[in-house]
Amino acid sequence: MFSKPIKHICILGGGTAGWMTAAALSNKFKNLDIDITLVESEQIGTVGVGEATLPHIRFFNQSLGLDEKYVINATKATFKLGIEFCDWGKLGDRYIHPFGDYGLPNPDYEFHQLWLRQKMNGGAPRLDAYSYPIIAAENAKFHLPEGNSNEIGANFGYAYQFDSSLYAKLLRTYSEDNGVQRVEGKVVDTSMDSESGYVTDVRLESGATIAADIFVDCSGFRGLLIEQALETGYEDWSNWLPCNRAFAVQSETKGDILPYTRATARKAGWQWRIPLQHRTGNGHVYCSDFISDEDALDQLVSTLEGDAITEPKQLFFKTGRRNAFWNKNVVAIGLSAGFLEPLESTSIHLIQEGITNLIDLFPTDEINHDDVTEYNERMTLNFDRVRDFLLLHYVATQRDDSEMWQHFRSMKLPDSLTEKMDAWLKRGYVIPYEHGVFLPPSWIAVMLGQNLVPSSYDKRVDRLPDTDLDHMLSSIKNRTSMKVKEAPLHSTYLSDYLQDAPNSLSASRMSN
Amino acid sequence: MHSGGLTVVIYGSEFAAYAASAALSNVLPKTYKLIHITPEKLTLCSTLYGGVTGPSGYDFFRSLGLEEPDLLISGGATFSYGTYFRNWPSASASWVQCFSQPFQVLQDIPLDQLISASGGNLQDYLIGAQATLAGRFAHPPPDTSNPLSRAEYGYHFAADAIARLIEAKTRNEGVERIEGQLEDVSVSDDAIEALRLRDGREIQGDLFIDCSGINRNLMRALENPYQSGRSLSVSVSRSRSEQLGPPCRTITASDTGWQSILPVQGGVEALTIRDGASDSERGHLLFETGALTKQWTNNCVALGHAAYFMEPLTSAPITLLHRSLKRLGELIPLDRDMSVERQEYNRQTSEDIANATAFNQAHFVGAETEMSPYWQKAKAAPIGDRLKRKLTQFQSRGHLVQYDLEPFNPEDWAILHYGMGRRPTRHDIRAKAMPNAGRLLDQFKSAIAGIVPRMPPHHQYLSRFRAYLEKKHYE
Repeated sequence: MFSKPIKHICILGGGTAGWMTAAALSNKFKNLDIDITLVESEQIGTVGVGEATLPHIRFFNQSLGLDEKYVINATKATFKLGIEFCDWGKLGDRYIHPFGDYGLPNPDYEFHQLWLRQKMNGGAPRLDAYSYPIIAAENAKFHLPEGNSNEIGANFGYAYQFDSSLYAKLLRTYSEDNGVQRVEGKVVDTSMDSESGYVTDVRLESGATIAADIFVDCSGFRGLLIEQALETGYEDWSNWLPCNRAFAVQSETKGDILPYTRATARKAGWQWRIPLQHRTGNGHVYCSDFISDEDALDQLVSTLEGDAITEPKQLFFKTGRRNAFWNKNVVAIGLSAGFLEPLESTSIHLIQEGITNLIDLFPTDEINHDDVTEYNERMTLNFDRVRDFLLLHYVATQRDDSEMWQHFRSMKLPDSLTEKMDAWLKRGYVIPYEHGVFLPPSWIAVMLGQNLVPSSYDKRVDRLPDTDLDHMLSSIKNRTSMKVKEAPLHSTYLSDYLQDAPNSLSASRMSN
Repeated sequence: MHSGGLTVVIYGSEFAAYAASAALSNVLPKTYKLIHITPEKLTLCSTLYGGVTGPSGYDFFRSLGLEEPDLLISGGATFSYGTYFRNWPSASASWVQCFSQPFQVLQDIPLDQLISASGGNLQDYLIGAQATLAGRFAHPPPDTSNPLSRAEYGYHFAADAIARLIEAKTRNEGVERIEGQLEDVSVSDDAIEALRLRDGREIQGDLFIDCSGINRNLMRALENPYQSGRSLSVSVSRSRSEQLGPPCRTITASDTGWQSILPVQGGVEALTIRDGASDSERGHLLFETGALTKQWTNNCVALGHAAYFMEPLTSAPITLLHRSLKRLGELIPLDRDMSVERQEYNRQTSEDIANATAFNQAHFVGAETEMSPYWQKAKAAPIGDRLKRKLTQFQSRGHLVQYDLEPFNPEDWAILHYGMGRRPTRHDIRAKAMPNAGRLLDQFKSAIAGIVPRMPPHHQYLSRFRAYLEKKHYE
């Protein structure tokens, strides 16, 4: 058995997951006697799991001490206020799932309940009118939240839409500066200790072997160590989320650079559109049971807004997660851990969760069973809760115009999701949880956006006099639209903001 | 029905009944009708809430329409940093289960991890604990550079006094109070139609709230079973004292169980808990720990001791009552179909009970007290998966496992683990390697040691603060 402190970490794979892991570990463990090697092969290439992120990515960058302007510049990033969903509730519908709560915080009443009351007793404008990030996104406007976060124009979050291969490149430089050793080569064999079953080393095509005490498997879908070597097993979620293929293609940007991502529902899947500074990322995620590859590609290419600038690339996957994320001395992070379609930009976020928990539970000397169990418990909960939220998008719908939508209509849902939808429909109540990335405002955005309108509301709000309610709502709405009017266009703000961006990583780290 | 709204009927005279009437009268829409039937009082029930709130006590009392000045001027309440456990978990061992803000993070590493790596004792770094040991109290200042700003406090209170305060306050505030003793519950299709009183009156309603304490009069009529655990014998006494005690409740373990001393204005309330089966002294009452299978069944919700009885070792009885009342407010039925509300209420409440039970139970795991029937039974209760995971992870490397929306926060758990003598066997490698950890920890300790002697004694602070409030009140 292994009974020695961890001295050597080997990260397998140099995509977004691999370099994020290398960057974070080399930063957190910089005072420790631990060597980190990252093995990657230029032949294999990376999937580039997602170009759209969640606001949490900012905290990840901050903890590395990265200057925001430098990151935006280096990754050709744009700001992101949310995701626009088109044709989900029914054909012709659209809504934005914003980063931020609706209205303003109130100690006595939930804002959406006040709005529901107004809507049911005489009518109210759409809830979106009270969301600064939604109105700003619709007008292609952006500025950073400034000042008191309880005020309109500051009470929102934001993320980035970036080129994840450039992000990986940036983090590679950062990691190598921190002493991470990068080894070029393709892994051809894995050795395991016959007694413990731990992975002892990997052999490269060149014949070189790399030994380590702990391996982080960032090798993508195939899971070189977690699956091919350790046969950990996969919990298949295709029965709930059947999409299993995608085509991705880059195109020229037409018109304004928009501060939001778009996800449009299609007959056999959905299509993304992610605007970066210099191009637009597009993709069609689909289920091969319901559409042929040719038609799926045609669907994507025929609906591009600008000219394609890359060859379409096809991807294959199976939704689900590994039975264990950490098995023996292998921790799977990224696509090797599991796959959930990037409908809500969770791929990079789940990588980040994997890294944060690994640091939190990193072996104190030898690998300890308690740490492994705890890591797996936490990551399982993260994946399961994202799954329910994604599933909501497919089932909260009136669509039945294709085989796929009919499939969802007859589906037996997880109880937790049914209960959540029932409580919402009855009275606008959002069943709360604490651990999980999507908080009540996200659930409200999607449920309302997809036409799940509660039949009543929390009657406690009836205690507020009519005139007070009218005044509160109209004042928030007016201030929202006024603040958006005052805000600059996203593209203007972005170029102004980047004027004094540091032009190298070292300059960016010095400016900290 | 009452002009579009529902009629809510509370039955009971213990603290939970008054708390429910106040809390609901503050949130129900005007179209709802709120009736509170007050039978003859049950002795003791109210005292068994333990008389101590955590920091959420401030919000709890506000939700009942009581502000801090009300509590201090008219309610006889005092300040609480928590509970001082004596001779627990073994003879001559002791600790302060104080309330705490989230632990600071120093250079990316949580304070508790640094302390555990240094081999120190958590209590030395908590201002609430140190001030308690010195018998001193002051409100936390807003200046966050002052260590006292990190102290969290709750209240000690006599539940009966607060119930009387609520009774007076809510008299004209939308609560219809009816004095009467229950004769019969009319049930139809498993739902309560009306309560018939001894004087012949019949009170109809849509939603009934059983606050009848351990009698569980309404729940019994619905045949909702109570799952009991241990039987406890309880006795209570009150005595006057010249000077107010420290800003904490004191719980002392004895061979036969434990005794708590609660300082309230003008005196103390003492509560003695022993094993129910072997204690047959006169004047002692028997209580069964445990809970109803369902806290809300059909159109009847149980609150307080009617819902569950938790040994009042911690602030859980009040914290859970507060959370139940808040939840009931959020889920007050809109019509006679209450299935959605009931299901969610029961889900959250049973989570609360399971989490609080785990916290209570963690007071007995590894306790080395004399093996009398009380201790034998307390220690024999099986440890569920929830607690097992928490204990394992803490003892393994100091991880504080938290479930969704727990009534006790990670700090409460860490303080309890340390108090019970549990220590992590392993430490975060970054904490061990932090070069200036020792110096930072020393600075922490000395900052606290510098402040505490300058704080006033609890009795002095309270009387001055009260005088100040009264002056302001009558100006």
